[in-house]
Amino acid sequence: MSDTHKIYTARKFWTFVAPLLLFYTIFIVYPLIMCFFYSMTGYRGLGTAVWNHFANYKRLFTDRYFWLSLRNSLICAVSLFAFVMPLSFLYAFWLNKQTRRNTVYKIIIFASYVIPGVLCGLLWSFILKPNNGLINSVLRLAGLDALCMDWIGGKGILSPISFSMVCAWSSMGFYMSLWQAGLKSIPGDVLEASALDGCTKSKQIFKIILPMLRDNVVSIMIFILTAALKIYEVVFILTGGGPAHASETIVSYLYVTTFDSMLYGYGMTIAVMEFLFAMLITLLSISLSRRNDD
Amino acid sequence: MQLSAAASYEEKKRKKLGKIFGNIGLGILVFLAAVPVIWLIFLSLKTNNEILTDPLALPESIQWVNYLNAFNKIPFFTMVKNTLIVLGISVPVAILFSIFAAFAIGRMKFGTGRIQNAVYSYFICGVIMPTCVLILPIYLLMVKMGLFDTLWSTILTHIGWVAPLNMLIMVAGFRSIPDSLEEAVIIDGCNTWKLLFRIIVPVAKPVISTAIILTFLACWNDFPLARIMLNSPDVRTISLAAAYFKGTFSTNYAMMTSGCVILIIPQLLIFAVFQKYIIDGVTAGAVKG
Repeated sequence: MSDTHKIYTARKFWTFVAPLLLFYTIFIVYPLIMCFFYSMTGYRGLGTAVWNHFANYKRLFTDRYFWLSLRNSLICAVSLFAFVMPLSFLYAFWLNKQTRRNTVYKIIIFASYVIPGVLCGLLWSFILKPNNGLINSVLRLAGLDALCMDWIGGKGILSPISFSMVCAWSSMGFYMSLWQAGLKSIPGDVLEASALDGCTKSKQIFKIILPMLRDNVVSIMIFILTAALKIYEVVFILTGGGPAHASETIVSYLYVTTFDSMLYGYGMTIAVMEFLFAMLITLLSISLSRRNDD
Repeated sequence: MQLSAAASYEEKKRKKLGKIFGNIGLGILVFLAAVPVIWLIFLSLKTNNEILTDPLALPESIQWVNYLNAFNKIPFFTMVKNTLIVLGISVPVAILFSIFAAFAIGRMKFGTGRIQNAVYSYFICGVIMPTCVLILPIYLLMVKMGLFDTLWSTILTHIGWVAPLNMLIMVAGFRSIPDSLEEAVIIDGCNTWKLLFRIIVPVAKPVISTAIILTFLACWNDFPLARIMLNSPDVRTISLAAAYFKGTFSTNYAMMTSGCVILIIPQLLIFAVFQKYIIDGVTAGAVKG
C-alpha cells in the first residue's frame, strides 16, 4: 500500500489535471461569471460595460415576450412529458424480451436520436406545414378538413406542442433505453409469480413495475424537464420564433435578444434566468432522490 | 405447466388472437417512428410541383435527378470536411485530457485526498450547465483571440464543455479499479505513463468508450454554438449548413428534401453499424448522470 502512495505527489496530480481544468475554467466557469456580470450592465458590444442598477432585471418582469417565451417553454415541458412518458414506457415494456425482431424495432426507434436537431426540424417541417404537410394532407384526404390546423406558424399554443412532438420523436429511443435499464433490474420471478396469481398486464404495470421503478420515473422526469428547457434548434427551423415572437422559447428568445437585437446585457439577464431554472430542476431532483433513500 | 394444460381451448384461442393484435399494434407503433424519414425519402423522389400541389400522390416518374441537383448545388464536401475536422480534433483531445484528469482524481493517492475531491467537485458543478447561457462571453473571447469564424472556436469550446460529464463517468470508473492491480505493477517498477496506458486504460475501456460516444454525439449535434461562432460558408458544419437549406431553397422542396436525405442516410448507416455501442453508451452515461 505504501508503495502506491510514494509515486504520486501533488505536483504530478496538478500536471495531469491541468489541461482539462484549464479548458473547463475558460469555457464554462469564466463565461458563467461573465454572464452574471453582463446581466447587470447595459452592454451592447461597444465601449465598456457599465453597471445599471438591476435595470435589466426590472425590465424582465414587465417584458411581455419573456413571459410568453417562459409560457411556451412550460407548454413544451408539459406536452413533451405527455408524449414521452407513456409511449417510451410502452415501447420498452413491449420490446423487453430479447428477440431478433425486438432488436430491429429498438434500432428503428433509437435511430432518430443520432440525427442532429436541425435536420430533425427540417424533416418535420414537411410533416407539420399547414398547407402541404403530411398531417394536414392526410386529414384532407380523409375528409376531415375541420381537423386541419396550423401546427406551426400559428399564434396559439400549437407551435410549442409541435416543437415537443419533434423532440419526443428524436429522443424516444433514449427514454426507451432508460426504461429498459430499469426493467432489467426487476427480478423476473416477481413478474412470473404475479402472472401466475392472475395479475393482468395493466395491473402488473401499475401495481408492480412502476412502483418498483420510482427512481427511474423521477430521473426520466428530470431529463424531460431539462430537455424542454433547452429546446432551440427546432424553434429556429420550424417557426424562427414567429409570428411576432409568438412561438419563442426561453433559449430562442435569449438568442434573439442577444445576437439579433445585440442587447448583450439584457440577453445575459435572460441567460441568468435560464441558468437559475436549470439549478431549480437540479435541486428538485436532488430532493426527490433524497426522499427515495429514506 | 399444469395451469397451461388445464387452460381451455377457448382461452388459448383468445390469447392467440390477442397476441396477433398486439403484434400488429406494436408494428404500427414502430412504423410510426420511422414515418418521418420514409416521408422525406418519398417526397425527395417527386418534382417540386408534385410536392407543392399533391404531396400524397405517387410521383409520375421517380426523380432521381433531384439527388444529382442537390449534389451539385449543396457544398457537401465542405460541410463534411468541416464536421470531420471538428470531430477529429475535439473528440480525441477531449478524451485524452479527460483520461489524464480522471486518472489524477481517481487513482492518485496522496495527502488526505482533500485536493482530489475538491477538484472533482469543481468539475461536477458544471454538469447541469445549460451551455447556451455561455455562448456570448465565449463569442466575445473568440473575437478577442482572433479565432472567431474559424473551426478552432468550436473545437476548443467543445473540449471544455464535455469535461463535466466525462469526469462524472470516468472518475467513477477509474475509482472502481482494484488497488491490488496497481500495486503489483508499481512493485514491478512500472512508471506512471506505462501504468496509465498499459493497465488503467485497458481495464477502464467500457467507461472510456461511453465517454467517447457521448463526446462524439455532443460535438456532432451541436448547433447553438456553431450558429454563432461559424459565419462564413467555408467553415459551415453539417448542422449549420442544413440550417441554411431553408433560406437557400425556400421554395425548392425537391432540392431540400433530397439534400436532407443525402445528409441523413449516411448518419443512419453509421448508427446501424455501431448501434449496440451507441445505445449502451448513451444509456450508461444517462444512468450514471
